[in-house]
Amino acid sequence: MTTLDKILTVDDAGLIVLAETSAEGLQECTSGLVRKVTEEGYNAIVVTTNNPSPLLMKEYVKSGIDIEKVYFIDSITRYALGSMPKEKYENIAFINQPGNLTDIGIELNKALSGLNGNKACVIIDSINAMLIYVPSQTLTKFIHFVSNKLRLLHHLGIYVSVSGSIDPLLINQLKGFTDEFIEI
Amino acid sequence: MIKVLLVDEEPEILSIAEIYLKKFGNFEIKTSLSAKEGLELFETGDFDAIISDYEMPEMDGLDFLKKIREGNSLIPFILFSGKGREEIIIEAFQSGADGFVQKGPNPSAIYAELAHHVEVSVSRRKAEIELRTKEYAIEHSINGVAIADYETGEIIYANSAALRMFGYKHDDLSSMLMKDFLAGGSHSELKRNIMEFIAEKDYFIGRLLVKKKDGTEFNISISITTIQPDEMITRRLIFVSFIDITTTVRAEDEFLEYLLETSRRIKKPLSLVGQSLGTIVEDVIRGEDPEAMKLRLMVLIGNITQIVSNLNDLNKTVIEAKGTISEEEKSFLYKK
Repeated sequence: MTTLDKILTVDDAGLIVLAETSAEGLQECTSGLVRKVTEEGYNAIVVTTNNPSPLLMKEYVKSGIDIEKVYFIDSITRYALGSMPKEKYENIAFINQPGNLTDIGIELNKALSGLNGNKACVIIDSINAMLIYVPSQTLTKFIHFVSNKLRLLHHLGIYVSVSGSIDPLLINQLKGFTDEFIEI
Repeated sequence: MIKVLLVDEEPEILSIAEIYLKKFGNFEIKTSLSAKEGLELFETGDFDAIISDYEMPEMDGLDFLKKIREGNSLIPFILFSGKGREEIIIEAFQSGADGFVQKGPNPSAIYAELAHHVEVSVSRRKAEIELRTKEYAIEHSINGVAIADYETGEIIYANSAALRMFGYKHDDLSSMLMKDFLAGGSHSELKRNIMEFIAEKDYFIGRLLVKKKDGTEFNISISITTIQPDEMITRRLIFVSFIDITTTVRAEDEFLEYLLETSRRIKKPLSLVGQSLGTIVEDVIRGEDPEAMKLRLMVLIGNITQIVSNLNDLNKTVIEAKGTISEEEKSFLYKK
């Protein structure tokens, strides 16, 4: 099994990675990934469906992550609050709810087209949280769509899931869309 | 006990015949002096065989036989005649007679022969009817039935249901092998697993993915047994019986998918929500930012609301499929 360090050494990314972590380590896993990819010169686009991005942002700042290199597509905060947050954020796109994959896709396109040639890493946090809001068939179609998009644009994609929480049938389908599998 | 209708214009012959036949076999005999009366008795009675004289006034034995056969009866019919002319014998057999016995001077031998003819004809007809009933049952069975050569797998017979299921006609089957009906990768599987199993156990029961003439694949539940060679069947055969279980397999797949989806969208998410609540409790103990904790809790409320909705959606699928739940109960179950 490969490691994230090895993956980040590949120049022409276009790689799609399925990253498994423990339920307890989920929160730290994403922030660890963001730290690592930003330190390697990637712009991180975090698609968050479970952790409100304003909280994540504070946490990243606190742990010294260069927040200028992080962009959030946040589909949970507005849904949880029932309205848009009062504060204005330059680097967050709020989606009305996690099941709205069309809007997530649109925002992802916008974020990727605004990179000005910089390399990007799209982190989906997490597959498990997305499964609460979309049926597995819809999710796999979306993952397939995103994977193809990132490969074409030579960007890195990391999909986070909690180990042992997804059945073998679905995990094998997801592995079929990805190039590498890592455990964090 | 064989019930015989005995028809002859001469009462003496009827009496002698009755005595001798009862002597040579287990017969219950009803007699008639004319073919016309014989026909009436036949229509109202229950007989296993008819013995009739040839030469009778009004209607002779051949016409009597023809009338019987016109009524689609296959009852064994023995012509018992004083005349042994070749053309009468030929016409009798052409008209569906089962035997011809000529009257003669040695009653003991003649009636022994007549009794033998009746017994053989009745027994043969019973065997024919039994065979035809079995053939009819196999040919009209809803199950597909086929017989193939054990060594080569060549199809020897397939019933209507089998042909219908696979989209073939009888003429298509010449030189077709069992493997020709297998879909996907199950050909080698058949040879390796199934034939080895049959060689050891003499039977196989299982499921196979097969293909129609047009290439459409479908699932069958199949049972295979072997037919050992005997004095009539010179080679070892395979008897195959099967039903189309595509709908069942699809339903099973859907049920498995339902169980998996329940785990993906209800069970595992609930477990993760529980773990997140545990983390928030720890944050409370550590005195973390209340606003942050509030937002996290609101996320979990959103998650739980969605999980309940998932449960409703999945239940709806089952309820609609089952089709036996009353509207009142449905309304309660669908309520959010």
